[in-house]
Amino acid sequence: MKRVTPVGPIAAQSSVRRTVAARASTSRVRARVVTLTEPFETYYRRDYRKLVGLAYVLTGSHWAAEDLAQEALTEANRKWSTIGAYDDPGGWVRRVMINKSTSRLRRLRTEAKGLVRIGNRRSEAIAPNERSLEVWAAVRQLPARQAQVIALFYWEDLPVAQIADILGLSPETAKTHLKRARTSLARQLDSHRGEFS
Amino acid sequence: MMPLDDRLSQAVADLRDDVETMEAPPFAPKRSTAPAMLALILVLGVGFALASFATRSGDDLGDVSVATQPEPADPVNEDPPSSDVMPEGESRDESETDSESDSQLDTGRSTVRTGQFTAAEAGEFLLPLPAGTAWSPDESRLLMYRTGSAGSGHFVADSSTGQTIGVMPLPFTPADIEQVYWHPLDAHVLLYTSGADIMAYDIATEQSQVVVSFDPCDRVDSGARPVPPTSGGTFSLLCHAGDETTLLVHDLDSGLSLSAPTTGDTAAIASPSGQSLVRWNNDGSASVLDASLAETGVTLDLDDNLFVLIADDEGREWAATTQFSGPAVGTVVLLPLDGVGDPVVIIGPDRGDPYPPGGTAMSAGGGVVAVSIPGADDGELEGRITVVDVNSTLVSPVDLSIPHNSADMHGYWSRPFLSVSPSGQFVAFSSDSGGDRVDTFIVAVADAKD
Repeated sequence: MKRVTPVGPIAAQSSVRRTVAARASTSRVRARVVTLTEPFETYYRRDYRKLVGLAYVLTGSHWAAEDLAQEALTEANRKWSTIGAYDDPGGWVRRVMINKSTSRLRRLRTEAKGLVRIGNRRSEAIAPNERSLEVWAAVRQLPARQAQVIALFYWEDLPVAQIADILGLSPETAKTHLKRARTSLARQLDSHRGEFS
Repeated sequence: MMPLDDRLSQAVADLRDDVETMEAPPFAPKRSTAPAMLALILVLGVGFALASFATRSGDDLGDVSVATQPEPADPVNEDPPSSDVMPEGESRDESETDSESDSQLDTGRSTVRTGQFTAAEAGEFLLPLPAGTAWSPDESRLLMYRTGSAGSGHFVADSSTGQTIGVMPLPFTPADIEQVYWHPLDAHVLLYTSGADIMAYDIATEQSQVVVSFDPCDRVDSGARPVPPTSGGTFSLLCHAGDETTLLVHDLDSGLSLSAPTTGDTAAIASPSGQSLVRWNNDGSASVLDASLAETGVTLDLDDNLFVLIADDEGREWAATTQFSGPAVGTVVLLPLDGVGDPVVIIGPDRGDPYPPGGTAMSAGGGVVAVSIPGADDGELEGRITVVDVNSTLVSPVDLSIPHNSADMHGYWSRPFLSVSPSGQFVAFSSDSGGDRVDTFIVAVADAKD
């Protein structure tokens, strides 16, 4: 725990400045060679639809989903010299996108921005039938972390360990979220309650 | 009944079919918010009629419809607003207000709607800023967000007359829509962050100025959720510098600041007294810190559910949250910030109430917790605003329950936004009322607390 002696705003600035300076110093002596696994454009074309689907599960809005995906991919593009060398750059992008989706009003703003960006391209490619809508709506009613685990488990078909990695959780915690989410979903969708107990 | 896995697999297959028909657009890096917001105003303006906020009765009151006027905050025994001028059908018989049982929701308390901000056109949305950020410290003004032909953005209205105060939309771009806050010590000033600065916008002069700069930060903001300053002036933020994020707590009164590490994505939330702060952890729990940002050793098992902080009459402070599992399941559960004693279920299955529905929004102020749950009115929790006074919970768990029937027809715009006033006497909330626009209502809680 780092604490700053409260002697005014300058104290806070000085403290943070020390931290930044220390990090900068460290980064200078840890230069490394980066080998990109693929160009950003290739990754973008390969993963775009999957990301939009994930964002749709979390937001329920085609427009918000496209915009969220674009925002996360923009960040990825900006840092591709680093992220592109990761074993799983998609995991990083998913974490960024999921973080961006957690604020309700942020999503609201994103949806509005999506409308602007998409302009008159108004026909929604994502238009699930009523049964699917009911399922995704139930997922979005879950606590945020549970909904994220469900989205990554079912939509992305990822193992729990990878989900935990993306969300910054321990595998046990991710497993617990998954179990609770399934229990809640089963209840909400009127599935057989004892099935998951 | 189809098993859960089958239903999810089917939904995934349907979604995959849709997504695979999409074409990935050429990659175009997104730019700053300001041009997009400007364009948004233009786009949303098309097709929307001029927003006039006409009154229900046709009177020309100016910008909004207000049926009766909530008085400025008076902490003691305020008379309930007169029912003479209430909108028809929106008052209830006072004889329904007695609560006999502590095990069932009392949906019969007086429901007095004192004001309504009416969107004039279909597709127009008027929302109070959530999480207790809508009300000015003296409760005379409401901070809201509006879309419509007259422009999209924040605006301030007089909570008594409904008149818009100052320009609309407000001429600044905050870190996020919800991250605009009333200055707790000055009812004429709004606070927001821009870059590494806390900014103050004076509504009267329509000017912004820097309150304090945190130069070593690339930017400061509240993080993933709004965190308004406390009434005592504790303003909690995150400092983002490179890849590092730290908590930052600034005292608006003294100008003093503290910082501390965090693994969470949201600023620490200060308790009403400012003597405790709650910091999200990256495992969905939260840690209680003291005023110097040192850990107290108390961890709140929140399971990532949102919470609000509240003080009871004895000054004891609690986190009010919704719990879907664990030893204390409920729509409103109080967790003690001092870590002494068990969680207290205010509304939950153990008290004969329904299992908590999802989508609960929560706000607190003046010893009152209000929850808003989307959906059609089920007579219990869904589709209703439910208000509890933490000081009388053991006698009467629910003081007020108001149907709002938000059908969630407009995605995020019709989610339940609500904000309890600082005194706990009023609640502002939005509802689509099952229709094609979203209005904001003000209800008086004071009569239910007597």
